[in-house]
Amino acid sequence: MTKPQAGPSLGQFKPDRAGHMGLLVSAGTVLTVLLAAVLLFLLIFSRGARTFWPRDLNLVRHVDGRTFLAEVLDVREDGSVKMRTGNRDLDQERRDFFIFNEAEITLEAQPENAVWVERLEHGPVHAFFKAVRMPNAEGSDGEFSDSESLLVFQAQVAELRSQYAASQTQLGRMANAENDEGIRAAQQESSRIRAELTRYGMHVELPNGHAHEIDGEDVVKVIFPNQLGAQEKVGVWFGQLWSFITAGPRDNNTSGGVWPALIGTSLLVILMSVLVMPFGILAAVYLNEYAKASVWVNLVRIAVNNLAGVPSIVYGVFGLGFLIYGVGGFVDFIFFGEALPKPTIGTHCVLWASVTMALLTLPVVIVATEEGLRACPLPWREGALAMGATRWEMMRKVILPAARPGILTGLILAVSRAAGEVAPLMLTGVVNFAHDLPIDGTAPFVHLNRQFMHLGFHIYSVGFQAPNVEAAEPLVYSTAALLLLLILLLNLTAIRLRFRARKALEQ
Amino acid sequence: MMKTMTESIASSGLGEIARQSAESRPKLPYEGDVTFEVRDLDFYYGSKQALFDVSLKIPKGEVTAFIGPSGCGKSTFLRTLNRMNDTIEGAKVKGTVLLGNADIYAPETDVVELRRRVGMVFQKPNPFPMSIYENITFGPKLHGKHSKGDLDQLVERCLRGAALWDEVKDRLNNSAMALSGGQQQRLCIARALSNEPNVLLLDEPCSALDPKATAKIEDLIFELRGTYTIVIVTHNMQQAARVSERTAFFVLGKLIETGETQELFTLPKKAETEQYITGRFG
Amino acid sequence: MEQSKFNQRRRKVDRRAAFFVRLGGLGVILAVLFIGAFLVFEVLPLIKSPKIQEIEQTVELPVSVLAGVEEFTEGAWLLGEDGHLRLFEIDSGDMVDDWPAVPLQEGERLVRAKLGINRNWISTVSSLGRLFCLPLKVETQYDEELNRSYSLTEGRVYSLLEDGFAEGIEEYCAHVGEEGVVAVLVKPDGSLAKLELVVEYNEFLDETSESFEQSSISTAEKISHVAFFDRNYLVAATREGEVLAWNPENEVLEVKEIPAGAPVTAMASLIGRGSVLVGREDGTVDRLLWLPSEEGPPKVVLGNRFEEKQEGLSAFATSNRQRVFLAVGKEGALVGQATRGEILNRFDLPEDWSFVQISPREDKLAVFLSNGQLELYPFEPGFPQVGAQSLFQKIQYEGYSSPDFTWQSTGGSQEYEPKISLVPLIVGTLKGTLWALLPSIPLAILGALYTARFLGGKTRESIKSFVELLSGVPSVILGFVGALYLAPAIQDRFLVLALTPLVLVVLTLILGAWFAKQPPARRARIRQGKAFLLLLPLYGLISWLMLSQGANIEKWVFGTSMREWATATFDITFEIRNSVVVGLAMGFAVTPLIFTLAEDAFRNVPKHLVEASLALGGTDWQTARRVVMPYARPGVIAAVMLGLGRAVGETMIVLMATGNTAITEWNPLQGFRALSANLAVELPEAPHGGFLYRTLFLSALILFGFTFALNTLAEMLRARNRRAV
Repeated sequence: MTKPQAGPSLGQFKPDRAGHMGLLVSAGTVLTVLLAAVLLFLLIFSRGARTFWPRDLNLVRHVDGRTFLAEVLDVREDGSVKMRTGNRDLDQERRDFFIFNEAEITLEAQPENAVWVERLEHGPVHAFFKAVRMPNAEGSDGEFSDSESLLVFQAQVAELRSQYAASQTQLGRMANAENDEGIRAAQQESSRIRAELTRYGMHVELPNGHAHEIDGEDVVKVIFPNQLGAQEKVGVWFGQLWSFITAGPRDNNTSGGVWPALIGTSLLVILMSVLVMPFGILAAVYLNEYAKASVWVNLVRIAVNNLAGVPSIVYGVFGLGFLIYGVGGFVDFIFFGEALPKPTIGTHCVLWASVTMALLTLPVVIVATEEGLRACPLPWREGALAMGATRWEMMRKVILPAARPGILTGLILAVSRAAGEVAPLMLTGVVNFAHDLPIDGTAPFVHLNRQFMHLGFHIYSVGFQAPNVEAAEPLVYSTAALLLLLILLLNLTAIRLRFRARKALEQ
Repeated sequence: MMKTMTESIASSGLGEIARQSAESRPKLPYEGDVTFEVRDLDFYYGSKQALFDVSLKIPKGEVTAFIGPSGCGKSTFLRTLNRMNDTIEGAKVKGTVLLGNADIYAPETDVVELRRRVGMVFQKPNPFPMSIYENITFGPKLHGKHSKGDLDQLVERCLRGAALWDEVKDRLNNSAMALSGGQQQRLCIARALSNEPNVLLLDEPCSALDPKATAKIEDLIFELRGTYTIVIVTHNMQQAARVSERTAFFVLGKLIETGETQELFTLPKKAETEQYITGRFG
Repeated sequence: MEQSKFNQRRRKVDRRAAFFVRLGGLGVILAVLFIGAFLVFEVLPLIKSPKIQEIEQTVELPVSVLAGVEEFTEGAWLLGEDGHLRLFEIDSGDMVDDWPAVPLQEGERLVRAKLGINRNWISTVSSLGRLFCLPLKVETQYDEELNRSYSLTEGRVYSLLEDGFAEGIEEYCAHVGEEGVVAVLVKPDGSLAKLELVVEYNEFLDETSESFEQSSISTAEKISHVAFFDRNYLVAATREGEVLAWNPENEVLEVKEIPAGAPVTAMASLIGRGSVLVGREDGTVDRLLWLPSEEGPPKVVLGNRFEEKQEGLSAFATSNRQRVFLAVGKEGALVGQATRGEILNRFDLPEDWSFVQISPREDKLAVFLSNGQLELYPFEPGFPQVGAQSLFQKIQYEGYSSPDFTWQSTGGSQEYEPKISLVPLIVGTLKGTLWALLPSIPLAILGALYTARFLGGKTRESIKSFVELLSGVPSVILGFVGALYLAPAIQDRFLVLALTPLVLVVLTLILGAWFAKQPPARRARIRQGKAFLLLLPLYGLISWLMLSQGANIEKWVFGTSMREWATATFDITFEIRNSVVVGLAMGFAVTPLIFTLAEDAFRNVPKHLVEASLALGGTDWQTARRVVMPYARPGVIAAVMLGLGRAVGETMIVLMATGNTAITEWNPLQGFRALSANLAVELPEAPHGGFLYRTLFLSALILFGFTFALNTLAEMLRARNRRAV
């Protein structure tokens, strides 16, 4: 489209006859859109990634006499400094974020032995490391302050904790089986491990000079950020990222990871795909191949197209009203009457959320599949028929395989839509903390009637409903970055696939 | 007057071409056998009549060409022979089309079987978006042949039959879409042969091809003659003169004249035919 | 050509497949279209008016001073003349409990009794002129097979007066609460006496003490009826039909704008005691409210005057669940709803009724006849709170100083008056949409024009793909960024936010003018497709400067931040999560959508038109403006409409990036509550099938209908545009 300038040379300036101004302004709009998008992506990915970066701990003295070991988060141009001080449960005001004026505080050195201890609850501890208390090789308790013992301490605590979790699972299993002997054994085992865990502890000196002992069972991770070189920090970053993805949320969702949300999102998307694909393809094949071309079919096509523009929350309303209360209630009434009024399937759960999502993404799949079908030229159809194929054989053996890229594009777009959509889930089955995953090791392994967690809703619930939003905010950015990455990858795949399919067609 | 007409026909050279190719053709053993017999055929697209009262015999084993100006109904007529027009909404047929002794428009006719016996090759090469091998085995598989050995043999036979084997034998599993236009068209002919049809309908098979590819297809038609009854629609009169033994001339849905190609191109009976072949209308 | 067996089988498969595809395809499409139908189906019950069916049951019961039915309408309680409260089983007519509640003297009998608004106590006056208040509590017991049985729970009976004080009293009103008993009596001469029994609880001693107070309310008028508002504000009607009011300290309150009417024949307060109904001799009903007033004491005003009349109106039967009442007259009754101010239906009653009561579950109408017989009629109230008035018109709510559009669907208790005006939600939705479209439309359309007509193949494709990626960003992420990043970031930068685009445009124009003056040879060196890259440093620098210095610029211009200056100067409120934040965040969702669709429209302009214009000597820009723009206009309009639809239905962004207060204000510095966000917030809590549930479905239907219509229109425009190509 680029052409050399066609306008005549102008002796004197006339207001924008050649359109340089308009051209530049419209170029500017493109630039604005691109810049805004780049900034958005940068913001989310940089903040999302920063969460896992171990930050140096500064010794900070406030003029009122308070002392902190703080991560400096932000220094604004008006001279305010935002920092995270840790030790939430030990602070008088139960705060671990402060905004001070530069004038009020003095930043001192970054002490070597400043330790950052991630705990199961109440966020991290920022303190000076003294020693760990644990059983020594002979089995009697002792205190050690060397780094090797610290590693042993962490490994043993982690091991004991996982043993404890296993014993709890065993206890649950025995309780389900009503095996009294097993229950007693499992209870003994877990109290033994608990007793063992109490032999572990970590002595630190808080920035205000008080001594403090962190229970061994609370310790999740110990880092000396001020001792780490850049390379080690990268290592820590990956470690933290890994545990973010694979661990469950803790401490009212303000720390820990997103594993259950990832599982919930995946299950939702998979169930949705299983539902939407056959029906979407069926509807598209019907519209494009079997229905006689008429005004009516065109109207139906417009209507289906439009459903893609119907607000997602309306699908949620439908899911709640029709699927949960209507269909679910009916199924409960017919099959699970004895459990009523406690609903079995007529309640918020992953099944209805998936069906709702399938309805929501149905137009996407139909439109994409139709595009794929329309792209198959008439000669292929005629060729197949002339070879003595029935219409169904023509569809199954020639047209549907040829339309595969279009169908796949539809699926990917549907998946990316379903992965990012939150509003309908809020009405049909998502929760901010699910005790049980919808997939687990007990039969029937996939529990369609359970509520679930979802990455998108996790962003909303943690960012807006968590008791300590400041502590959770970095994790929200990380969750957003993870979700965004997934969706961008999906969309990129869809775009490339479609591009390739179109190109192949043009040839 | 009469003289100038013959002269102008002679100057077009069609008669000469037809004569030469007729001489080069060996005689066929089935004298007088008829593959298709069409009686009083009317065809309608909705309320619009496209063919008027066409009656025609297509002899067995010979090459019959349909010529005429565009929109004259020659393709429509061709498509009535394997009922491809059924796929068009509002299409209606009156009259009889006999294939052998069977009326192909009788209610008990199995269209699928008809199309197996009457193969068709279209104007634009239309290989399916799959491998060469799969293109050829598409039809046989539909009709219940699945033995790998049989299919391999069949693929080779059909590709050889379509004079394509030597060019593609090393890349049978490559996509058919990667072949050149001429190769694609020969592949389509091979594909049509794979159903072991009695008849081949060729709907302007060379219109999308360059002269070299066209020549190859014409050679192929020459080879296939006798084994198969061939009906070819063409807008290229020289091609008709080169490849066919009989020619039917259509104008506006009416069959104007039919006869031996050599005769039709030298001494047309009807004025329209003469005008058309001398290029005075069309 | 007979079919072979094999071909017959193939044909069968083909026919089955065709059947299956048709069935499945049609089924799917119908199922999807069913969504709209289902919403309608759930909303339809809202328009049903209250109904009373044919009589269902009659029971012979003794004559009483006051009677009513319990929770499940399986038992009836009767207060006899002899001061006994008795409970009867309705099916059998047997007495199941008997409590001699009121300690009457020899020869004394009860003459008049009233049921408290929440039906948990009864006040009664005896022939000797004593006033008693007794608790009414019917206990329900379940046996092992879940069969119900009933008994009365006895409790403290207050006896307020010495003998004879209330002699000849016909009318009075009383209220019993935790804090004690208050009663106002209308004496036979039309004067008023007020009695208060104050119960005080000392939490340190865990003791209660009672004190009794008696006062008179001075009035020159002759009073006929009295009733209480909440906080024991008193309202009274004179025998001439005028209305007077007093505060709890017996000071006269202003009564405003109540036109005179016929003499009053009945008076009753409604649940929550925010309204008092006044029934008059001519059958009209007035609803009175007391309004708080910013300056001075509260006032009593006329809320509604109901148009329809009930002949011989002599009593009200009120609901204990909502602001529904029956105005009962000689041979019939009107069903009215107070908030809406409308009479919803009318029906006939037997002539000799003595008490009429809506059952506690609102499923029956209990009519006690003068001979003691109880008649039960099935009653379907429908959803009387919901109507065109309460949804779309200004309504005078209890406790509000003026009629207003309000959405506040639930309150702390059942006594709460639901406010379900959709107007603030619709205004909120439109406001959010407007602020989202304001920056999006010019950005998207001009950007699309430039991309489609001035950029080369590869650049264009990658820009388009990038914008498509942007449109895939989940709205929950945009909402979160809006709320936690943009909102705090822009609160001190409003000025530069408005100024930056202006500065950029002006600078770009100057640059364009300078560029136009350059010799053609130099101009030709800069290709149009690269123009936007040239602008990059300029835009980056200016935006960075403006945004980093934003707060300082504001300080320099206004002496303080613009937000403080504007809120002080124009007296407007500021919320950190306001409409501008929503507009920006939603811009990220809407711009890419409009951009891609508009780009398609621009690209679909036939080449020959463009070439014709260029051949006539038009410049590229002239061609774009004079040929491409007009030609693509329908497509561009359709794109904007689809963007509009997206903005209207967007949920997460508006949920997160605003404060979600339902206000009917266009002030951009305040937030709003949109229809969609309201659904997400309230529907999970709304009881299934209730009025709120259905009202929310109605709002979903509005969203559905609006976006569906918008999209259809856009789709038709696009289709026409495509056909033209």
